[in-house]
Formats: sequence, structure tokens, C-alpha cells
Amino acid sequence: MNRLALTGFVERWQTYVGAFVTVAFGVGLVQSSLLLLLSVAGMEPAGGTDAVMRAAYDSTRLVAVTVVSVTLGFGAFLAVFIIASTFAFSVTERRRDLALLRIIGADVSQLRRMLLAEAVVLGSLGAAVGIPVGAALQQVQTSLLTRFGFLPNTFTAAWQPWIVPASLAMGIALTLAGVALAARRAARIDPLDALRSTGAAERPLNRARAVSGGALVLAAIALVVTAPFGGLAGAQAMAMSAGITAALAITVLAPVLVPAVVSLVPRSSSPVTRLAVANLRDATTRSASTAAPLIVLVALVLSQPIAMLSFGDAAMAQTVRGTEADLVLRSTGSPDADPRQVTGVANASTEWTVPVRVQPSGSAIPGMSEEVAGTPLAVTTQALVVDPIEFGVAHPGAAGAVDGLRAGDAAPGPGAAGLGLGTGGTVSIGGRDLGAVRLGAEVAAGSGGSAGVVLPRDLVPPDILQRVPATTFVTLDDDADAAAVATELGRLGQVTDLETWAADAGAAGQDQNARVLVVVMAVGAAYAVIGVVNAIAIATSGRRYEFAVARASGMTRSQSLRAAVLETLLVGGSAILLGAVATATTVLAVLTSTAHVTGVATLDVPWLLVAAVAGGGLLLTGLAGWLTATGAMRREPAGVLLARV
Amino acid sequence: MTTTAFEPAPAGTGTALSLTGATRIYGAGETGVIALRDVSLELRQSSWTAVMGPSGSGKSTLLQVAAGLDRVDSGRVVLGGTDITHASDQERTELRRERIGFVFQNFNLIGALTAEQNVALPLELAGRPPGRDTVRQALALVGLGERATHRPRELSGGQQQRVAIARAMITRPQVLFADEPTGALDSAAARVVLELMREMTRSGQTILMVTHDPAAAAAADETVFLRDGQLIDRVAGADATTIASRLVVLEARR
Repeated sequence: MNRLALTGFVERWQTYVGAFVTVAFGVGLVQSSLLLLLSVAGMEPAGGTDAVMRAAYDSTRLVAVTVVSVTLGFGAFLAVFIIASTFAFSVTERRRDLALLRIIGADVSQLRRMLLAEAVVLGSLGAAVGIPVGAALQQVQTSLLTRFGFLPNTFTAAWQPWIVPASLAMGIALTLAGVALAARRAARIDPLDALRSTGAAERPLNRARAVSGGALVLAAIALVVTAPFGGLAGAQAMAMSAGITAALAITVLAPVLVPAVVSLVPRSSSPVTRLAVANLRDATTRSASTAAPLIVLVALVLSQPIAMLSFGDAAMAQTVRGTEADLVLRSTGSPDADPRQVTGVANASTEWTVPVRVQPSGSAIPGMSEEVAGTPLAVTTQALVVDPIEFGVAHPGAAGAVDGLRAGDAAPGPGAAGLGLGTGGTVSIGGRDLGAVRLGAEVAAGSGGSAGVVLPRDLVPPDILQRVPATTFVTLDDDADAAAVATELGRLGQVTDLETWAADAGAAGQDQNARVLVVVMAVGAAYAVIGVVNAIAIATSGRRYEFAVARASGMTRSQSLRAAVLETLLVGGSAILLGAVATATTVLAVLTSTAHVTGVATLDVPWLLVAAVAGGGLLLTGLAGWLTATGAMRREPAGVLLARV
Repeated sequence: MTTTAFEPAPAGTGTALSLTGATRIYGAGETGVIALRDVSLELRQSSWTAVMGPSGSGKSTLLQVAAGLDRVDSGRVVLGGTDITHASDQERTELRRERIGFVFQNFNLIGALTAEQNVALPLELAGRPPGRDTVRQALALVGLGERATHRPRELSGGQQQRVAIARAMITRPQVLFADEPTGALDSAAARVVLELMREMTRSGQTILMVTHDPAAAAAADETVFLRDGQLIDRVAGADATTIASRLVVLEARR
């Protein structure tokens, strides 16, 4: 039986090329991300660095860890997805062979074992290639991360010998996870299929599909409905998940949805178009399987940036609304003179941004003793250091939370949600201990950027504040000469009005987000190419006979080629449209959440990216369809028709 | 070819297969189609029965029901003394492994495997891998001892069908089910296959064969005729011309 799996493998190698490349790439990516993650986590700044540099180091390290972890998860998820669709295809294509095995005495578990054996072979081979690929990817990832400033230039990831067996196991685990569903489908094949000359028409939507599709739709709706109540950070995560969940729902329901979208194509008098549309609507499973990777990728690549950009915009707009300032002074370190002393200044709130580490006190699990539950994990975040009184004037919404702050107090910042700060802990900056603080009421969103914690100025030594970026929000006396004050403040740093400051700060924040996205999306795009080309190659190469019949019925080679390419383009177009529909759930969640949290619905769509994804997707599907169809039509139709008995 | 080499498993009684009042309906209600209507049929051991009838007369359903691939809605199917009417999927799988063999019109060999690997497969699936000699001997019996390592695509249609027969016979089935075994063969190759089947019955093999070809039916011991799911006629020892004319009459009455 295992020999059968092996020979079947050799026989149908074309089907597995895509899955093989996916496994190799997936194993490489997971391996490289894992090694990077370990090296980044153990990274130590060079000797002689002071507290501020050390703290800054910790905070970039956190970003690097996040980016690498997201890449890792992304890589594993997409690998399983593509492998699963490859094997689902392979089972459909081999329906007759599998049914024949059942007729000559194979039982269900033998078929399942055969597919699992194929998965193990594929996984081992893919991993064998994936390990050196991972070593190469590690260079690429490291250079991307250092170029974008997430890692110091001196960084190199260490190679660990144990990664070789680990990657091998990873390859096998990825393929086994991918093949599990296909194995279940193979088990349901009726032995009678071997006796029928054409496979019985598959019902486009069986009960299992309808149920899981419905459950995913409900999950997506639930995410959209609850997103507004998650705070900005929670809402962003839910909005992103909504798009992906909707995309998965659409792929599950694709056998119904893709033909439905294609039925929007106006009826054509051209036989080529009619054949393409008819083929597409007839082979619903094939069309759905071809569309699936593109749907997921369009939704993934569009919904993440839309959510990220929109919530960034919303947060910034909220800050502008929550801040009362006529002028904003930006300086590195505390201004050389106190801005409050400048004539015409009514209030000046200087705010320093410092990377800090908070070790929450108490037990890791509330209500359980610390001895049992252990100590909670330390939190690395940005702190906003403020003069409580002035801060309360500049940000009226936060006045209540900061008014009473003394040296032993701190307030959780707008970005504290999900950090697990608890009710208090010990604060340190780059190894310098600032002592214990009690955490009181939270500073409302719109008052402190995205800081995790707001600290009173008394808590932080002046030499640290001297070396970190500071922003001073200035309000003027009613009768003050704004120009004169601005000139006076200009000696202390860069002076702008509030709107200009917000635009600059927003752009800087989005720039950081964009760099994170570029790294992660590069991975997504690579998978997109593999997944889409793979699906089309499998779908088209198995259709030699069908193409031969079309040509025997009087179509020229170029006509049947055009029909095949048109068909893949229609599938690709439907997939992009359905991916956009999935993305619309993210858009909906973004609009309702930003409206609920900040009072103004905010949406930022990177149209250039949308155009690139749509155009690139179509180009890719067309090209892949053309190449594989050309290959499938190489032989003369008569030979193909005779060979099949 | 020696006539003693085919050794089907001995059956306890003289009856290898019996259908009693077998009825099969596809679909339900108004749109339901009665594929088989109260068919009773008994195959003696070592007999060769051909099933003929117009397209849609229920021939394939009869074969599938008799082989336990499909269930009857009413009636009984007994194979070699075992009632398989209500057998579970696993029991049916074991039945296919141990007690019945199949030959198809389009051979249905596995393209990736050589002739001998194809022949060995049923016993491997049953967890009793046959020795190389057993497989070679089975191939020699169908006259293909020299072709053991060829793949199906390197063999002619007639040769492929003989490999398929060797594969079906390797488990020494109680009944061999043949679905249009000569349908895709030229007349010379068909004759070889029919002669092979005749030799098998001489050494005790029971065969149920569905066919369109009066010449193939004439090679069998007995031919039964189906129309609209009902068994309406049977002839024994008739020649191809007689069978063909019966069939013409059947077609005409439709």
C-alpha cells in the first residue's frame, strides 16, 4: 500500500509540484522565523549602553519579535491552506482510482493511510529542500528587518543544529495537517464510482460544507458586531479577523458563490465565451478550488492594511480632538527653558516618550496564589511621562485620571488594553529601577497616544528625560501674540500648530506600520503566487481529454486555448471580487468601531495596493492558465482521445 | 494453458449466488426509478451466466446488487451461503477482498503499477502479500508470464484485460463479476478473453457477466434477459444468432 502511495506519487508528480514548493517554502520560513525569534529574544545590547539606549533596544526588540512571530504564523497557516487545497484537488482527480481500490478490497482506513503516507513523503522531501531554503531566507529576513530598522545592523541569527530534525518534523506536521481533510473526503468515496464512466455529478454544497460555511459566516458577523466594543486595539484585531473569517467562509461556500458571480457575465454570442462560462459553472468544485487561494490572499492582503491604516488615522484624529493646544513644540529631551515661563503661554504640557518595562505584581492568574500561578510576565511598552496638572489641562479627557498622580502612582495609558498590567507593579527603564507604582484609573483614548502607561514626572530621573523625545502642547493666553510666542518657543525646538503635528506624527506611525506590513505581506505575496499558480496548474493539466474533445468538436487550438484562459480569468476575477467582499466585512467593522470609539467613522484604503492586488491577481491567473493549458494541448487531440479507453 | 490451474474457493453448496425478489429503486416518490423489479436468479457453482438487455434495463444494477456494491430495497442476496442483504460497509469490503472478483469493460488497472503489482494488489490490501511465484503463475495462466513488469500503457487492450482477469482471480473468488469484459476489445482479443473465462468455469469458477455482445453471451452457459428492471426471458446453450434475434425482439417491444 505504501508502495502504491509512492508510485502514485511518481505518476502524478505534476499535481504535487506546487505542494512541494509550498512545503519547502513553508518549512524554510518557519525555520528561519524560529531561529530569528530565538536570536532576537536572547539579543543583548553592546556593553556600555546606558539605561535609555537599553530601554530603546528592548522596545525595538519587541517590534522585531512581533513581526517575526506574525510572519511565522502567517507562513504556517498559508502552508497548511495550500497543501490542503492541493490534496483536496488530488482526491477529486483520483476519485476513480480510489474507488477502484475500494472495489478490489481496500478499506477506508487503507485509503486514508495511503494519503497520509503520501503526505509524509511530500513533507519529508519538502523539508529536505526547505532546510537550506530556510538558511537562505534567514539572510533575506535579517536584511529586511535591519533595513527597516527593526534590528541593529550588527544582528546575525545563530544557527541551531537541532533545527534540522525540528524542520523535518515541521514539514511532516504541515502536510499531515493539510491532508487530514482530504483523507476524510477520500474515505467517503463510493466504490461504485469506479464502475461509472463519468463521475456522478458532485453536489456543489454538501451538508458539512453548508454547516461549516454557515458557522464561519456567523463568526464573521459576530466579529463585526462586537468589534466596536473592544477599544481601538481590540477593534483593530477583530476587524482584521473579520475579513479573514469571511474569506474562509467564502472559500467554503465557493462552489455556490463562484458560479453565482460568473452568472453576472452577460450572455455572449461567442462560442469561446460560452464554453468558458459553461465549463466554469459545470465544474463547480474545480472552480471553487481554483478560486480559494486567491480569495483568501486578496482578503488577507487588503484587510490587514485597511484596518491598520484606518485605526491609525482614527487614533490620531481622536488625539487631535482630545488635545487642547494652539502650538506644539517638539524637542529632544526636556526643553532648555521652561515653556511655561514664556510670555503669553497659558498652559504648557511637556510629555516625554520613554520605553519602559513594567513587572506587574501579584499572581499571574487573578484569584490564585502567586506560589501556584507564578509571577506575571514583564511588559515592555512606551510610557508617557507628564506633569499631571498641565497634562490634565492639555487633555481634559484625562484630567480625572492624572490629577492625583504622585511619585508612587501611575495611570494605565490608552494602549494598556491587553498588556496585563494589573493593579500595580515595578517600573524600570533599561535596567534602572524606578520603584513600585500603583495603577489607578485609565487615561482615556485620545489623551496619550498609544502609550501603555502614563507616569508622573517625579518618578523619572531628569537625566533620562533629557535624552528622549519630548512634545510640549501649548495653549496661549487670550490676548497673546501667537507669532511672538511661536518665535520665542522656536528657540527651544520645532514649533507647529496642532494639525501639522498630528499629520507628522500620524505619518511617522503609519510609516512604522507600513514597514511591518511590507515584511509580512512579502511572505503573503510569495504564497499568493505559489497558491494561485498551483491551483490553476492542477486544475488545467488534468483536462487534456476535455480540451481534446473541444478540439475534436471543431474548435481550433487557439479557440480552445482562449476558452481555457478566459475560464481561469473568470475564476480569478470572481475570486478577487469575492476577496473584496470578504474585505468589506473588515471595512464595515472599521467604520462601526471607529465611529463608536472615537465618534467619527474613519476609513483609509490604500487604493494603490488594491489596484496592484487586483491587477496582479488577474495577470497571474491569466498567465498560469495560459501556460498550463498550452501544455495540456500539446498533443494532437486524436491521440489523446484514443488513449483513453 | 492448463485447465486445472484455476482454483476458485470451494463453495459449500451447489449454489454460488442467489437473488430473491431483488428490487432496487433510485430516488423517491414521483421521480423514483425502479431499476430492478422483483428479480430472482440463482447461479450454480461453476456456471457462467450472461445478462443481456437494452440500455437502461437494469443490467448494471443487477451486477452491482449481486456483488454487494449496492443495496436492494427489498429482497435478499445470498453469496456462497452468506446473506449479504444487510452487510455493513466493512463486511462488504471484506467480501470484495476475499470472495468476489471484478472485471470491467475499461480494465481499470492502476496505471502507476506494473502488471504483477496490479495482480498482487488485492492480496496486499487483504494483508496477505502473495509471493512472486504466485503472481507470475497467475499471469502465466492468462498467457502474460513475459509481461509481468510492463505497465498497463505498454500493453494492448486484450493484454490489459487479461491482467485484470489475473488480478480478479488471484483471491480465488467464489463469483467473478464481469461488466462488459469484451466491450472494448477487438474480436480476436475478445475471443481470447472468452476462452480464458470458459477455462475458468471448467475448473469450478462461477461467473456473472453483463454484456451487449451476443457472441460473448453465446460463450456463456446461459443468458438471461432483462427489460425495465424485470427478468423476462432466459435461454441456455443458444448461439449468437439466436441470442441476437431475441435481443432485437426485446428492443422492438420497448
